[in-house]
Amino acid sequence: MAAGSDELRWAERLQAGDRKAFNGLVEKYRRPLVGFLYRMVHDAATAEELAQEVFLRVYRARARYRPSAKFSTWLFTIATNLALNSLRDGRLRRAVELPPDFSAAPAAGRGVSASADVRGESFAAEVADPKPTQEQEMIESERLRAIREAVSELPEKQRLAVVLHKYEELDYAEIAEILGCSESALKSLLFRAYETLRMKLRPFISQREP
Amino acid sequence: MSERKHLREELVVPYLDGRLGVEERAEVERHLEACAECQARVSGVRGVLEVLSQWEAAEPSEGFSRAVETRLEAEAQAEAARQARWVVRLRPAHAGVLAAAVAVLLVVALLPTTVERVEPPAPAPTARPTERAQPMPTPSAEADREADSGELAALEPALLEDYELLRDFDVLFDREPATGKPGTE
Repeated sequence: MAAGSDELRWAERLQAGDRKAFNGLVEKYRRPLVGFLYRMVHDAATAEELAQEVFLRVYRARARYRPSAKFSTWLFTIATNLALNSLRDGRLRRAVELPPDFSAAPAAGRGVSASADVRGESFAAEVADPKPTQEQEMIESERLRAIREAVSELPEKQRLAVVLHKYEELDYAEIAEILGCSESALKSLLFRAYETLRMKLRPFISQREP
Repeated sequence: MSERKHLREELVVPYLDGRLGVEERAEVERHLEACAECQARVSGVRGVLEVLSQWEAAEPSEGFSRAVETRLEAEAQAEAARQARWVVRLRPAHAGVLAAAVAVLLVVALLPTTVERVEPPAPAPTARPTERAQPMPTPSAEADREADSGELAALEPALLEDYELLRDFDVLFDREPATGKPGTE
């Protein structure tokens, strides 16, 4: 898939060592990159450090970038490798509690409703309540903890596939290229990952008609 | 367990993403109407995707871009310092001596023990070993061992002087020449 024209121009200027082009790419990709790495390593500081390292490696290797490949594919491939290295280095900290600076605001305003309760049947979370109660905050906290834990327990490749698909919204071809598999294999991988998550997050999934 | 064929698993996520072609989508929906099990699976994945949407990620800090810039500058300065250390301005005479000395060192180090003598660089019919300030020692296993162990007494003084010159330069050991062998083009 050909790179977008703006991205291609930036990438070509980056190859030539244009620092302004590099800074533009940093501005564009820092948020998705930190987000991706955070969901992989579960630590904001580590995610930021790794994201900086990704950009440094991009700059060092700029001459090797081939404009025929999407820049985001290249970027996320580097990020994937760094994330996996970090996890394998054992720097992953399972966050049992939410980080202090993380907003525990419930799904108010996002139009999401979920039903599950602490006894494993169904929590009830009121939506569109601008002032969440303490109970709602606890429920939200528990849900987020469960999500993080469930995703982190996925096998590496499934975890990567889920994060890149669900949160980075990369297309199947890109994700398949990053993971080194076929699109068909990726789609099966995603299905199996989501099935696993469905079992683990069952108490938090609303019962809706298909 | 029903023997009815179920949806291929690789269709479920693209179906939910709206990425199936018109015909394929219609086929999936026809199947879902008739298969409760697949309905449940699709509904389950849809539910998981909704729950996952609630997981917000950390945002980059305000100083992120500046931090990248700072690290890049520091790297560039470190690289410039490294380059200055090993990029030595050799005079043409030194360059020639350098090349010759490295070549001889390699020959001495790699020659098999059966080689009995080394041809001088500019052989002349009347040139005799005794005309040298010191005769080139006959390569032997002992000389090879001395070379291997770093003993340089077996080398000619001229070469020894060049080695002293070379030893102070990191160029032999820091750079990555095309052939992978130090000192070669």
